[in-house]
Amino acid sequence: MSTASKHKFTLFDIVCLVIFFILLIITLFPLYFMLITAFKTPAEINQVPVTIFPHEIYMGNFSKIFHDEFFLRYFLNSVISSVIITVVSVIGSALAGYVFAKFKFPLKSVFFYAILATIMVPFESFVVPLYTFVRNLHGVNTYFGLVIPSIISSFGIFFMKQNMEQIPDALVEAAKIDGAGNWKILRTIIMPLSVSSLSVLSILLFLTAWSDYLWPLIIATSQKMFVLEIGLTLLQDEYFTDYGQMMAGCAVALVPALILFIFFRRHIMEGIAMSGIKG
Amino acid sequence: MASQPKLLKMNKQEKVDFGFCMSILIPIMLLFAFIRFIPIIQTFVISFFKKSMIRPGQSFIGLENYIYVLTDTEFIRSLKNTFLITVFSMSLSVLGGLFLASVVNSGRKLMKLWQALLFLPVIVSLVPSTLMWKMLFDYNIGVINQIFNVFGIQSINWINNESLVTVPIIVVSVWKEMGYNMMIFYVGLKAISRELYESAALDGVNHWQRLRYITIPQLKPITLFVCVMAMIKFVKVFTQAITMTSGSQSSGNTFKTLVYYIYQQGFSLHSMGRASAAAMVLLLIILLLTALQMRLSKED
Repeated sequence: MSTASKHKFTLFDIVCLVIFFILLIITLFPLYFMLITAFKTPAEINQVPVTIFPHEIYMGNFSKIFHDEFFLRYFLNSVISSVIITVVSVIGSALAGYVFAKFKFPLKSVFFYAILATIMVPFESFVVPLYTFVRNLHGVNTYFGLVIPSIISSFGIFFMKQNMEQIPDALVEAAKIDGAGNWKILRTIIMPLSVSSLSVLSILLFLTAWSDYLWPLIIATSQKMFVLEIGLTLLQDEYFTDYGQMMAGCAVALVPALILFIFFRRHIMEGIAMSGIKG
Repeated sequence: MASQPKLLKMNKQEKVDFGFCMSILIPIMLLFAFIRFIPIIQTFVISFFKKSMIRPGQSFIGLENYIYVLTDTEFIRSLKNTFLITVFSMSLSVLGGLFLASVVNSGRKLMKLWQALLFLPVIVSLVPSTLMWKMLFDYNIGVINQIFNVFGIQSINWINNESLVTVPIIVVSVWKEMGYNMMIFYVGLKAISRELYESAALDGVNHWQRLRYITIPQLKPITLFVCVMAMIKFVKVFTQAITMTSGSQSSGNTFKTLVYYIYQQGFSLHSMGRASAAAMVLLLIILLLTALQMRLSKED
């Protein structure tokens, strides 16, 4: 036994590595196949057997999408609503996080647990009354309607509170003795020390907003207000699916997340894992 | 009322701080009231009323919505579908995630790169993920059927059949969740002290024994936690189901899940009461799972 474990590769290791690489291939193949399908001609897409390497790089699918009067609009709607949601909910989370982390006041725990409790309640369970509320505010087919349910994040408040509690109280006290007000302390001490947690939170909230499906599906009924996630499903109709166009659309939909992932890979992976463990 | 005397006893600085906190919290709590607290309470109340989404007026009908929903064969079927997807997606994605994390944690060359690539599906949103797999499962041009053909198995019409479409939906769910579970297990594995493994190595323990007597017992709490987290996520399955069965090939075949049922009652059939009753069932399931999760994390 002991000699076996000193070897670099035991049989057990080899079996594990083989399964590991099979899983890796299963993980990456759909993404690869999406990308090459986006560059295939319609004839090649319908060819049997499928081609794993495209015969030629065909740009027709992308040009078709970008000449579709609605597709750019969908993309723009996704960008606008996700950016608004991210900016507003990150600001709200930072402010509330600061209040909960660094102050004592009456009813503080009541407020905090009321917010925390909403994390557990699934959005799908109260979407019907929420819809009628937003409809009564004339929010159907508006950006206001698209963003309003996500404009505040209970997870974000919890996340920022946890992170801001790590900032030493002594720093805040020292600034107070120097006569700094609460807003000034927030601006000059708390914010600069929270840059990394704020950026992790921004990325997480942006990715969540970008992939939102149920709410945009019910609040936007006019094609001009559809977001990308909805628009992609419209590229198929009852009798025919243009997979080339659809995969080109999917590739475009992936771009923002992919850019964020390339630059903030470590932050995203740790942030998501941590938020899962904490939240 | 109780806070009144306290407020009076505050010194000047405390009053300033209190004003600051309230100027931030009051708008936030108001917003929470309108987009969270009130709709949640309304769901509960409306579930006892006959109320239409498009026509005004409502009437109290007691438990009638619940009786309708719980005896509706469509609802039972959607519960069954949700249960199937939850059980399979959870077990496969947890097992896969655990396996991947343990291999990634072995510290071999390039593991950081493989880990990042394995994580990719987590950041891909659900609609593109589903559409990709829908293409791979396509009856005519799908890669999966063509692989089957190579082994002499006839092409299967995955998307068009209500029971078969479960397979692609589970595959998408597992594909998207596995990398996430891998990360959580990876953090958990990192937390197991090296000394345990080192002293085991001195005792000449082999791989299998190491897994059996150190890794698995040490990971038990985090595994239970990941399972419950995954269940909470999959009970809400909707996007995969609606995207997989919309458009061509499906010929009217819809794969109903619990959330799909709520969506359909509310937004296609315009029955707010029935939608709310079904939503209360969902809420109850999620709260039970959350309570379970809290109990598990207290035991740690």
